[in-house]
Amino acid sequence: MKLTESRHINSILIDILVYIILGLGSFFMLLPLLWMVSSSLKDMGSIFIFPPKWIPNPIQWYNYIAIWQEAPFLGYIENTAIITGICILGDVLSASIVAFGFARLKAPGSNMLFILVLSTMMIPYYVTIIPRYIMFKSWGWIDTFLPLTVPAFFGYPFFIFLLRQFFMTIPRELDDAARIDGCGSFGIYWKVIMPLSRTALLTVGIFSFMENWNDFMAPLIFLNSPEKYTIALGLNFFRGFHAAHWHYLMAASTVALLPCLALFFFAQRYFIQGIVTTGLKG
Amino acid sequence: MRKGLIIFLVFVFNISIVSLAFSKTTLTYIYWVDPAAMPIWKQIIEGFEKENPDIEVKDIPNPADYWTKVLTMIASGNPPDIMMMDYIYFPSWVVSGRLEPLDNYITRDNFSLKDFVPISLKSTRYEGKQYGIPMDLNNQVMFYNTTLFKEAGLKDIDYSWTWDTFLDACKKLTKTDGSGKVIQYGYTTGLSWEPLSPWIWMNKGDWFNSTLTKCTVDSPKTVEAFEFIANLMNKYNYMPSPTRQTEMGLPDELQVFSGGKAGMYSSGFWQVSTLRTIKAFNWNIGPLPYKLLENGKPLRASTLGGVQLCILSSSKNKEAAWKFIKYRVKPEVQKLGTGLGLSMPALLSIAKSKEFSDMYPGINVKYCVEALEYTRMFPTHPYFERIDTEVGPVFDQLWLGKKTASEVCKEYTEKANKIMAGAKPFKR
Amino acid sequence: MSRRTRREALEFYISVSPWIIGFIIFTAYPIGFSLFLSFHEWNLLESWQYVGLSNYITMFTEDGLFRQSLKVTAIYTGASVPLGICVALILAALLNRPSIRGLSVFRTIFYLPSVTSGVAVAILWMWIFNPDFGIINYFLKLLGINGPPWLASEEWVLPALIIMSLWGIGGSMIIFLAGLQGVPQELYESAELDGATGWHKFRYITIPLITPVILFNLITGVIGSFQTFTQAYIMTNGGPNNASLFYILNLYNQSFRNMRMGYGCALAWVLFLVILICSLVLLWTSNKWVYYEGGILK
Repeated sequence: MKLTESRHINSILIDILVYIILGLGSFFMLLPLLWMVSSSLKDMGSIFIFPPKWIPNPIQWYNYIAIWQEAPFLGYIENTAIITGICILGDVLSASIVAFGFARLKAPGSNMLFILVLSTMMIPYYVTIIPRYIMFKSWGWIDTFLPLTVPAFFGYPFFIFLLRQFFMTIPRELDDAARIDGCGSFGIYWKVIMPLSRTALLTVGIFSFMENWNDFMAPLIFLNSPEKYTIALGLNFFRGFHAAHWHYLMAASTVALLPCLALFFFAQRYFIQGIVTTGLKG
Repeated sequence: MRKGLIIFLVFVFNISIVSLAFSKTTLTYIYWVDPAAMPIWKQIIEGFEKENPDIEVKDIPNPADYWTKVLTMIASGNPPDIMMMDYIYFPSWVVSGRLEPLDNYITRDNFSLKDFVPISLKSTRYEGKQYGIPMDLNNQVMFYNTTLFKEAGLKDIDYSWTWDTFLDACKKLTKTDGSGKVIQYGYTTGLSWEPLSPWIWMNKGDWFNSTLTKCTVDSPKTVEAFEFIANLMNKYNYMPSPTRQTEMGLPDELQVFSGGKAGMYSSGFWQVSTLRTIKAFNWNIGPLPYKLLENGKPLRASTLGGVQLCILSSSKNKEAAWKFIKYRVKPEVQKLGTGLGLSMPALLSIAKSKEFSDMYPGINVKYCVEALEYTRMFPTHPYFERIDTEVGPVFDQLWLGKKTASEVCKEYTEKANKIMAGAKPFKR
Repeated sequence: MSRRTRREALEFYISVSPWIIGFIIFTAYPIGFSLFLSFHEWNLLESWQYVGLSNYITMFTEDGLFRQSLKVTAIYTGASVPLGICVALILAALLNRPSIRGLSVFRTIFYLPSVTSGVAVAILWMWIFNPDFGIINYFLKLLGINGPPWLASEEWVLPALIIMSLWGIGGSMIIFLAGLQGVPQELYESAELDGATGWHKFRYITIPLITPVILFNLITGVIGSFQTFTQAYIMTNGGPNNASLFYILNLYNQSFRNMRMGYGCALAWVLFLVILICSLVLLWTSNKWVYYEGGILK
């Protein structure tokens, strides 16, 4: 009796400590974002006043209307949504099958190959811009979405590595059970590994979303027509070369953040403990 | 029915052949742009296409990283026809043969260069040939907070201001709180070559020699000027902590001034577009103060800024490109966007007109326009970009008070001359 | 080779084929080209010229910026990666605790910063770190501390950027969360029956079972951290006095601003080797401490 009671009190104390830590952490995380929202509602002159005013006076809601007019922001969002959506699909499918190979199948040279996969992440992006441009230009892909989406269907190393690590935490007994039932390797991939990796796949989806939503370099280099520009490029329009419209930049950044917020809030509900346990016992 | 179909197909076929023969010339024009100017460009391009129905302009506006994009396009064998040029980078470009000299077009069309500012034209000239046509202008002037000036009992900045007047004003404007920390500064500016050059030139110093083969930053007069600025920061605390200006000129100094925390701010005309929106205090423009007299007259200086348009030598549509450039600098087209506060028009007649200054009521735009008389071109050359990137950071030690001006200038000069070893004179 | 193993090998290469094809089409040529260019001088405007090993020689004998940028990047990586992993792991553990209410809200709060646009983030943090008028020094002053000049100081610019990197750990935190989800509940339950405390459970069940994920975050953290660019590019331009000259920033400057693409490529390949060595070391030593439930594939 006493043991569980004291453990119960311990648990509550720890909970309080956790709340404090999370509270402080949230403060640190939210402060810049609140500043962003606050600036998005100011007029140009008020943004830089010191000491800083948190609540703008007057509150300029108009900024949120102006950004749609100053640049074709709605178009940017549409473009980014299309590119991101396609990439998520490609990333999840291609990275999972490749990661399955690395996690579950033995073959000569597989280790060297894995290291090769990893090492492609180590080449700085800037030195491959020009040859990629030449490549895409010769295929007529410049100023289309193709350079930004097609490579996703061939496996990005980051996601391959991630899923490989996750697949390797799934007990092999499940594989064996499936084999006994007559499943081939790819059957195991589809019927055993994939369903159990919902969280990991969701993580890949979230990351793919993050990467593509905010990607700046690739759209800058490979797109020419302003109608095709993405959010990240569009935001830079508000920055300009001499005279930025900071308030619009902050408003547009806030707007760009909202889909991420909504998507994540919805997606993280699927992060549920103990998916792997089903099927282990008996 | 079948006969009708055949006739229809023949008709379509012929139309396509005919339209192919009269197909449009496509001009690729790459440029950078500020958000407020976007609609103006749309207007300009539409106006041009209307006047020239056989030309289509494929414009590539760049919100940032312009040079990365242009260089990528050119290096990959996909160069544009027309590009924006900043004269600072012009030397390395022209030396590579990538730009088309425009003299033949100028003479053939009797294109008058009289209305352009001579120094602006000179900035894109090489070996006697003209490579760029100025599209707009900018230079360095002194912005000041008139509200703070009144508080400190200072009069508006005018041509009578000398460096001593300036120092005195700084002293009156700088305020500290109880603990000795400065809460209001006299002056602020970015610490790149653009705002620093006028101070150097007014002290009769310079960055490079006249043939542009050697660095002269360690010359006594130049060192003196650098020391002057450093003292403003470290000795007198008239100027706030330095942060090295990024390529995009991010807002730290602007922040300090528009936050009402500095009395004076030297920068270019483009700040007008931002400062105009400030309601918390009043401000105006004045000329930069002078130090010395030359031939009985004040020795004044300001740094040239502004954009030029160039045609690429690889272009297959040079004739059409030239038409576009001529169109862009037509007086009616030049007038578009002059009210935005981003730059002065390239044509002197418009810049000096009452129409232009009327767009900025209450602001002494005249000082910017009059400064064009004594605006100088930065002595740039093919090695400058590399020197600025690699050697430029040594100045940080001066601004942070870690080394003296003569030490830092000597270091800069040594390293710059190393990069410039074997440099040929760059003649304009 | 038995029929079974041969079949497995074939299946392996089939499953990995998308990557191999993608590599051949999209990656091999650009990477090969950059290696080729590293032995040339190219100013992007004219044609390139062969210079043999001179780029590499200059880099190691004369280029102070190369050494400085390597130093800056190594320090930043050495500090921010371990720190980031610890913080992300702790946060993930806390956000996995069922007794805490409002987990969804908290998780979203910690995740949001990592998806905010790079430009806005850089500008926001420049304002935050402003020595005279920024929020951090304002708060420090309230606590009676005189804040340092942050981005304007050679000593404090890297710590400032490291603090900023903590702000963006939402990504690694999510990966840890996913990893924590994969730990079977039964193990905790049976440990509790044996009288294990929270700390015991964490130390002897949780951590060992998520070592694959720790390894992942460690390696990708190192690879990513060595390639830091945007913050330095927008916020400090490598300053003051090159105190924040990150390797890729230097590479970018050399390639595009100084128009020395050949030299930039040489820099890229040296970085590649550095990262590769670090990653291999991490991978090879991982045998000692990483536990794969699904068996080690060797």
